Amino acid sequence: MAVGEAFSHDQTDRLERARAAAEQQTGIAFAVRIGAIDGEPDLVAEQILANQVPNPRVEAVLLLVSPGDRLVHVATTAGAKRRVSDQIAGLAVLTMTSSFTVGDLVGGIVNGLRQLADAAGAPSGAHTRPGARSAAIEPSAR
Amino acid sequence: MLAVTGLTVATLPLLSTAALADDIGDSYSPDPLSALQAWAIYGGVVVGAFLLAIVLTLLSSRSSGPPRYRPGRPWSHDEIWVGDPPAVAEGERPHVALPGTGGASGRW
Repeated sequence: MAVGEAFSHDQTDRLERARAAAEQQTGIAFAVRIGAIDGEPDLVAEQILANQVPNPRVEAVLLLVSPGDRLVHVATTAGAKRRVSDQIAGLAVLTMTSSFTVGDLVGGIVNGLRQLADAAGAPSGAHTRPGARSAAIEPSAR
Repeated sequence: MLAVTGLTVATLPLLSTAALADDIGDSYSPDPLSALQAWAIYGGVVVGAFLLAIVLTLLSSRSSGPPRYRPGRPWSHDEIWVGDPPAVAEGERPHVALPGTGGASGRW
């Protein structure tokens, strides 16, 4: 592995702000993993989600980005799927890959998060139970 | 204004010393350069400029901090999490599947 961080502090900060904004806007737990994917992306995403949320009803969205494989995968839990359908996830993937094609990795992820959050909309009463979310995916106070 | 005047007064005599010389030569009696001298001057300046640029580029890239990921290059860094990574309690077996998941994939 290369010495040093892949992104500058500003880029990391931008990604974290976009993720926190999406989470705040929707009440859905968003997480982004950037790095190599060992195996089938959908299976890897499913496994990660399984360890992130206590049960499938919890609303969570995971973005897997593998720059080396030029691959992006958006995974939603069964709970989040009602608000972030496969079609919406596909559109977000299209938005991200458009930016990735021109070399804008961070911008693509930020745009993808925004698009997913806009599509999911504000949380309804049934989905705004912060206590229902896993402690592991609670937004950190950074 | 004062600085410009001062500089002008100081530099004008310096620049005009050649004109005050007894013999400044003419186009019919130039002091010829040998081929080696001409190559050394005109080629050396160009080569020297390139070398200087290369040295400055190397120095700046060394002092610009750790290497960042450049789009299009292979990913050679550890995985990065934006948001908290999944936490598996010690002694607990990791879950392998979550029913009912959805999503989409794409390549670029």
